[in-house]
Amino acid sequence: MITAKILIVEDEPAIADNLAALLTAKGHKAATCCEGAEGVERARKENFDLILLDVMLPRMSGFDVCKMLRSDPKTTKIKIIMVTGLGRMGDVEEAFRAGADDYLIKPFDSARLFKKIEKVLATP
Amino acid sequence: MSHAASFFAGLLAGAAIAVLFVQAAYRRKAALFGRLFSFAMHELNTPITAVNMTILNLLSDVFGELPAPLKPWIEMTREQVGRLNGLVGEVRDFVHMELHQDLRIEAVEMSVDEVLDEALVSIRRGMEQAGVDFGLIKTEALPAILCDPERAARCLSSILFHARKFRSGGPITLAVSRERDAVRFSVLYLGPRLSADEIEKSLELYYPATPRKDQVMGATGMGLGLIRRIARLIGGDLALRVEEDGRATLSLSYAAAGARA
Repeated sequence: MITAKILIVEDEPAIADNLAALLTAKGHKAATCCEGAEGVERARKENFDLILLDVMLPRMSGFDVCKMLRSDPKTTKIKIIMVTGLGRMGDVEEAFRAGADDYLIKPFDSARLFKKIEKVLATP
Repeated sequence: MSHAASFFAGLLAGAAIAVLFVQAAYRRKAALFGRLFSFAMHELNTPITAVNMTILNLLSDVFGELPAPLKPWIEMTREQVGRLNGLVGEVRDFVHMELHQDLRIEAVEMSVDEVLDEALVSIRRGMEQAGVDFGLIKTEALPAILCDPERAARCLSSILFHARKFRSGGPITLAVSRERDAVRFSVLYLGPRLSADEIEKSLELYYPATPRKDQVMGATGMGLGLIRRIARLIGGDLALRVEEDGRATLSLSYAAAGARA
């Protein structure tokens, strides 16, 4: 299994902490932050392999965060999985337009999460 | 044209304009209602996701080993959260199908085992708890199916919940087999006797909202009609057959991958 340094950008601490615990238990290094701007800042300074990025964030949407990350040479190569709610039908297309590598629909189980992570990390 | 005729023509034109205004206002209200509902479902999704993840982490010993006496209770909670999650998904699908009319269903290749694993992970425990003898019969070497990965397991779980709810006794069996160009998930159980008319109605979208005087529940979740609509959107189907003695078969079918080529 590929292990990675993963940043979770999620404004709901209960979800972020559970995700971090789960990723850590699987051997990944996980960090969390609850705002888009902080996520961009940390992505620029730390070498993350992957970002799990929530769509609905306060102040700056996940789509905008994704676009910012893609437009910065320092962060453009970081893999991004956007996490979205099933009800927002345009989210998936919007996520790919913003530059996401893949998406995950809430609520998701750990099997689906790890499948997506492995797939994205294995893609050059 | 006489004065009376012009008066009535004017009156009719005025009434037609008033109707158009009312219709436009109604459509705006319906659209707003849909968006608000969608937002509420999204908001509900967040705590469900958090609780679900905590439960899964507890059961996977992510936070340390779970004491054995607690496991059945946590598993029971997982089943109930799964149901809640399924219901929220169904309501959202309904909103997008009927109010926004923008429901997007994907048809991607999935293995039958993948769908079964996801659907049965919490159902088995629920069946056991309800004292139901649950069995799975699966033909070997089934082809992959074309279904929506977010909804396939949910739809299967829903028809199993339906069988558990309306079963009058005996076991519940899930039989999975290939039928020509499709794979069929058949749920067999003994339920109430239903007329042909009632069977057909129970597969309609608004069946759970049908006014009833008998105070008898007609559906679980958002009902079988929604599952049938979703299945049909990707070339699948849902059928219900009830024999005279109450032996019922709920069959959810999806096209076998490659069969449409």
